[in-house]
Amino acid sequence: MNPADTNQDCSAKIDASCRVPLLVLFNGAALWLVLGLALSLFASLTFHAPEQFSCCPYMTYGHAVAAASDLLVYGFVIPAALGVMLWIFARLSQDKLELPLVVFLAGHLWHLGVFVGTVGILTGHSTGYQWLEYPRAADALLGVAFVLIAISAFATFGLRKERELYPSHWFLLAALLVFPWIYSSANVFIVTNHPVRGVGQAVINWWFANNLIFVWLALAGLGIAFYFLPKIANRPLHSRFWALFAFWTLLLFGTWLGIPAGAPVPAWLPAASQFASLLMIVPIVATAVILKNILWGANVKCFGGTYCYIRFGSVMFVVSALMLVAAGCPDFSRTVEFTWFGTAQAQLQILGFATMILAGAIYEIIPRTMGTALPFEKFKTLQFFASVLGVLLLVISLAVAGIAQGKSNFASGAGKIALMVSTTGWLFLLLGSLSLLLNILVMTMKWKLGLAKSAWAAITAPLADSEVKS
Amino acid sequence: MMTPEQSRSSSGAAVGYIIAIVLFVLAGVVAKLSIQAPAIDADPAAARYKALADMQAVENKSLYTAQVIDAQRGIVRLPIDTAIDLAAKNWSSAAAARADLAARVAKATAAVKPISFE
Repeated sequence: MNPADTNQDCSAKIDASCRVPLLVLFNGAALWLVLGLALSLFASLTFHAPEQFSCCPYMTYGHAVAAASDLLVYGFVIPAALGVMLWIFARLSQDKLELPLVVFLAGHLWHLGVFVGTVGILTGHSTGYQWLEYPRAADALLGVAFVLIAISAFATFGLRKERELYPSHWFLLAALLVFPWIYSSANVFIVTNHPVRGVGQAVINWWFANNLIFVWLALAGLGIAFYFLPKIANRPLHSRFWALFAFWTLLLFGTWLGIPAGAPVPAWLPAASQFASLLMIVPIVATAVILKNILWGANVKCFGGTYCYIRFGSVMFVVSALMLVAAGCPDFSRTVEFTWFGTAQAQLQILGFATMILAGAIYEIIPRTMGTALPFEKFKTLQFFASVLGVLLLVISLAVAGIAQGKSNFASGAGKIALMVSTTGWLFLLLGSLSLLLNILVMTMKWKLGLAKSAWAAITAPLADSEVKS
Repeated sequence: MMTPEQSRSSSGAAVGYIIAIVLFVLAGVVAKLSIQAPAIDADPAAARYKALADMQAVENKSLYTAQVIDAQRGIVRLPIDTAIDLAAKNWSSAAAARADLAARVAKATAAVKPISFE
């Protein structure tokens, strides 16, 4: 047996060990993505006909938007990222996934938490804190499930034969540590009984929102991108030192952002946040240099494949980070703070960066773990182009609406046309997400049917003479 | 097949992660407990009882204790029972009592001579 065969054999075993846990995470994630985008679309329809859901309190704009945002982040991005991380850790360790049963159970626990949280928001039991809207019961389920999945990731990481860590390792391990830290801190301080009083609540909420949407997604997304891009482009990550520099500066400066310039809090808080946003230029430039070195001149045919998804997502991260830096500049922040511009940046980070990279990674991983090709290969390309169009329409229209709001000093109706255009963006994104759901669901159904058939064949197979007792 | 060294390394990484998470949560809880301020209107009943007790203490002092209020003018505070007994005793002779009252009122309302160094 030559080394290539051994390597292929080993990869097949690793993929097979990830199959069931990843199916749990990806199936639920794809379903929540569709529901989240559908809810976002319904909420966006309010811009066209504000009275359409007046009869149904569950679907009012406040309920629908909060539930949709949380579905996109907690329902899709985090479980999908965890699934991709587990596969990457197993591949980098060149060993099977550790504790797959724990991941299987924790995956179900996570999706139960998302379900409980979403029902809680829609029935009016939201906590009222942005990105922490889920009621306490759901928060507890999510926290426990995340830690259980991360334990499996760390156990798999511990199996690695080469002691040297890759840049993907740094980013993904940091993501596994950062989420429990920010999530437990924010919950302990503002969601549990006796929350901190007064302005402290708003400050902690801003800190958490920035660390979840910007820092955590950046760590997870860049970690995944730095694994797939060099692999698909077949060129090394250039360079390790740039990656190390980007990693530490992102953690150092990124965690300080999030306090709006005009927030009614002690002046040093927004000042520190603005200063950090200026320093964020450093990791952005470092990331852009790494991406340029990988992508520039790479000989990869790209027509809606995984490489396209991850390349687009990575470029969108740079754009999103630049929008965040711009929003921290004193002059510009006076115009756009508390407007739709912030929503545009957050949606670019979630849908343009994280979701695109994760969808591309899932399309790469799922056929390998299942051992078959995608049932609807062309849907992958369809989703790519629909998502690109959707992200561009959504983000540009929301950003324009935000600037129009700020320029007109929040005049009523400012940016209304742009907001109406954003509905089209949600529609395209929903169309794309349906492709992912269909591919995963059909693949899972086929696999389960195959299992049932082989079990039936084993049951109904005639016994050999030697097995029959007289 | 996992070697013993790999097994140790794997469980070590997992246990290390669990310890890190426990430390994060503990740090958050300790930080919250150390900055905890009493809640606004946490116990309104206790606040009302305290106000009532303060008011009753002032009333009891004025009703049941003796004190010289202004020695120069001859103004004193007497326990209410003592004051009733004194009034009953003094007013057994109405003319004398009236003269005594007028003298005391004159003393209490007379202009006080300033002290030389004021």
